[in-house]
Amino acid sequence: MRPLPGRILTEVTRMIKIESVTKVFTDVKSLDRVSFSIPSGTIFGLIGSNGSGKSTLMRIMCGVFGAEEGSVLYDNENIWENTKLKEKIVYLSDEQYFIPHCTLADMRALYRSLYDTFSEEIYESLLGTFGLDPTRKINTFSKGMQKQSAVLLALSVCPQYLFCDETFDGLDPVMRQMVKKLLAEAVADRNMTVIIASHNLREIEDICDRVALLHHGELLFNRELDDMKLTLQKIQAVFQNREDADALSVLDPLSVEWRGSMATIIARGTKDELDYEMKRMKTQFYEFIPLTLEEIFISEMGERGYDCSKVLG
Amino acid sequence: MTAQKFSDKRGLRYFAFLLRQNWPALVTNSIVLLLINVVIYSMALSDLLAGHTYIYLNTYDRIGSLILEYRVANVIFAALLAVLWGCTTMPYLNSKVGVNFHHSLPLKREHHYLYEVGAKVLLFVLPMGVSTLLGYLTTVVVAGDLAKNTGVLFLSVFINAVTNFVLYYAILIFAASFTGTGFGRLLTAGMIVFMPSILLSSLYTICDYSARYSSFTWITDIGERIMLPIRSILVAQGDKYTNVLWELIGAWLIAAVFLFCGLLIYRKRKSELSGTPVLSKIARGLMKYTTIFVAATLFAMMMEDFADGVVGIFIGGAIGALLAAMLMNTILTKSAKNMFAGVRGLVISFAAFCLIFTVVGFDLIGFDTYIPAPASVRMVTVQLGGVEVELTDRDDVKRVTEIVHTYFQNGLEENNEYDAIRTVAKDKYYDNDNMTTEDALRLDLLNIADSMFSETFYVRVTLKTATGLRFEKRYHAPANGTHEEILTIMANSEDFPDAYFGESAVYVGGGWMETPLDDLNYDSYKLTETYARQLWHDMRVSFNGMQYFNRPALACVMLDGTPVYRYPYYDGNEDAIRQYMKQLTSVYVVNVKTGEMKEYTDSVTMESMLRAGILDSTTASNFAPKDDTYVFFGIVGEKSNFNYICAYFLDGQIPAVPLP
Repeated sequence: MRPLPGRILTEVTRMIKIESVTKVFTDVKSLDRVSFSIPSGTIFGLIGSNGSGKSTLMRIMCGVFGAEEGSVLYDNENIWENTKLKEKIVYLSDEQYFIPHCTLADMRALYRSLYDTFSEEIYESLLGTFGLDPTRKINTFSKGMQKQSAVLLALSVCPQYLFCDETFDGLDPVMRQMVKKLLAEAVADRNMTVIIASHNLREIEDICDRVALLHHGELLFNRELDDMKLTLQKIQAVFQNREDADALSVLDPLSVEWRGSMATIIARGTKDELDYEMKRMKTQFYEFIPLTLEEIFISEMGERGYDCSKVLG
Repeated sequence: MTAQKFSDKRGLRYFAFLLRQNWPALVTNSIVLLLINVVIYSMALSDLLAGHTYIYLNTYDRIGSLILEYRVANVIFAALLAVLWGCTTMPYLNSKVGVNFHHSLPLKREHHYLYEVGAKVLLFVLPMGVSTLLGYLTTVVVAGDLAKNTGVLFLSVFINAVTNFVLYYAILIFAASFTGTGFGRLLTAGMIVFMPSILLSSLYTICDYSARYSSFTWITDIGERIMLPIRSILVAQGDKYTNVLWELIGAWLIAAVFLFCGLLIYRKRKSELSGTPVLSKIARGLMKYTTIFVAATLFAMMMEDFADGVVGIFIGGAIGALLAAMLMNTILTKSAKNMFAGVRGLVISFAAFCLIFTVVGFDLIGFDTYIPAPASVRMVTVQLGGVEVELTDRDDVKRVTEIVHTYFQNGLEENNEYDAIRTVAKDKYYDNDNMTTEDALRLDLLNIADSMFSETFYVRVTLKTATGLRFEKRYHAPANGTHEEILTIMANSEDFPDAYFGESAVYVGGGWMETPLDDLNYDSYKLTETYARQLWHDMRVSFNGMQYFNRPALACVMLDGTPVYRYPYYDGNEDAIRQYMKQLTSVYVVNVKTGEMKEYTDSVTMESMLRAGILDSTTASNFAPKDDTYVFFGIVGEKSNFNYICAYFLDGQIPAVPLP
């Protein structure tokens, strides 16, 4: 088995820097001075509604498109026409493309010819995991099987950076979890950086370390998920009297929803801080419940003055 | 290991992958080429050696001809394959997803381009090389000593086929980079290859129709030069395979330019435009307005037949321009809704058509009647009475130019010409009292009258000035007028025998070569030359006589049913014929059935045979070999490198000659 480069390079601090990237299609500005960084070894979620510029940004990051302005730097190296860098990258676009009339074995030969890091061991292992027939023409596979094939080939390359554009679409729930598990393992084992673009927050909330939100080509948001979860809490509380709930104003809640006598509150602060305040209120019962990524975003974006129903598709 | 070396290794591995992926194309290509160059060729070769065909040439020469025929087959196959593969190379350019995939791979764009193109070229060159080599080996095995020197012919087969493949493929690949779509690349390649000459042909059509005296063949000459890709196929059919070096170099240079431009465009091509034509505004305009101009011309000529004169031409031109604009708008925008877009451009194109037609037709710039000053003319080519002579003697050139100059200055005696034609048309040919001069002209009776009677000469004169400009005029002049002097100048010029009796057709190294008269054979024409004056009124005998009046021609040589004529048949020129015969060193007689050949060197026998041939009524052009048919021909010189003097075909026995 060939050495996996991810393991060798874990000591080096790597980073993708997107610097003021602007992309214009004819008259439409698809990306407008987007800047942010992605630390290595993270699973990065790029979210936004349809047409927000996620796929365009990914293509620029993979060197498929050139940006009108700005640059994408991997450890200070520009990606455009940089084959040395591109060998560390695999891009799984939203629709799968395979060489016409190819089998999985043919595609393996292609990837082997292009990527020195291609691992036969991982390929064989994943082939068993997915249960795909390597001698069958890929265009006869179902859509889900084609996605599996693309993931299989991408992981076999052992890339340092894996770009997944709506990759979970079309996979059944079991396979979806399987792919997420494989990605997480690759990150853990080889310090691989995964960038996942999706319009579906629920798809990526259980896997991403960090998320960024694009809207109409602009970056609205880029934060660690844990930080967001630590500073934002969701509490369900039952009050003896509705008047007692007036005390909630102390929390300066981002939102309060009532269902009968039960209020669901989202408020900013650490768990300890809010727990202290809640104990001082006249509640029959209260508990902290996990926030979904969607709720975090709705809260954050609402605070920034965006109508979240439009921002999130 | 440096990054560059790393990249090169990866590139080579990718190249190898592409070759492996294209194995079905390789197999198919190999099968077809093996069929052409080995299987079918060896069958034809065996047939030839068995003596069933081509008995009137020696076997060695015939093998050469056979190989040249297969060169044409290979070239046509190469061109077709280039178009097919050119339309399917880099198919991902038609697909955004495909471009995402390919351009995210660790390969530079130029590597994508070069490896894709290189793989297809190699997939053609390898089987082509192997099949031609096998063809050569087959010849060596089957024909033995007769295969001597055929290696160079097989090499020419290979080089011609590869050149044509690369040339057409380069054009298609350039179009692919330019457009990105399958249909777009085919359309663009078609425009590149054909449109310049079609455009120039249209221009020629307008000018030639409009002008009364000037010939605009120089326009079509330019078109032929531009149309190199097609020419290169024609070159492959030519006999002078050793003289096509510059044609081949030209073709490779053009291919290199297209490939390089294709690479530049591919590198700059925006990925997001995959699957959609990215024809630039200028290219679209060129395609559209060129098509409009061509269509306007085409419809103008069609309408000219239906409507009367100029009105029909302008109406036809307008209809053609409009239809072409609608069609091109629909094709280029892929929407019929836009068929009426760009009215301004349409009007400008039609105006250009009208302007050219008017300027030339009404000779607004005086080009049609312009004859350069005699002092400035360096060479004159005169075609008069069916003979074309290129005059180079300074005095001859000056005098002929003066005559033509004066004739044009004096108004070309147009009325006399019209009257003469009218007389011919009405009284002698059609005998139709109602036929007007205009009707006669429309029926193109100028030529008919000229060929049937001798009231006028049809004159075509080309004047080449010291600056290299050529002015070609065609007109009719009275037979008994000023142009009689031109006839005299022509007949007395040193250029006359060469022009009138042509060149010797010599079979050399597997192909027919035309060689100018030289010391060896020039004397044999001297006597005939003395009869030149007598021939003026019999100009249309000789080759035409042989072809149309079913008579044998002196020194008519056959190749694949195509007569190569060089020496005139003249019924009354017995002395000249005898002089010919005295030049002969040998006469060969070949039995059509068996292919056996017998040589005669006795002068009496030779003369009796040739006289028998001359008296025979079977012609070369109608020759259909039967069992008791013999062909015989006399030669001057050595058998391996000789000038054909004559070849006749006889049914039955030849009197007083022991036959093979």
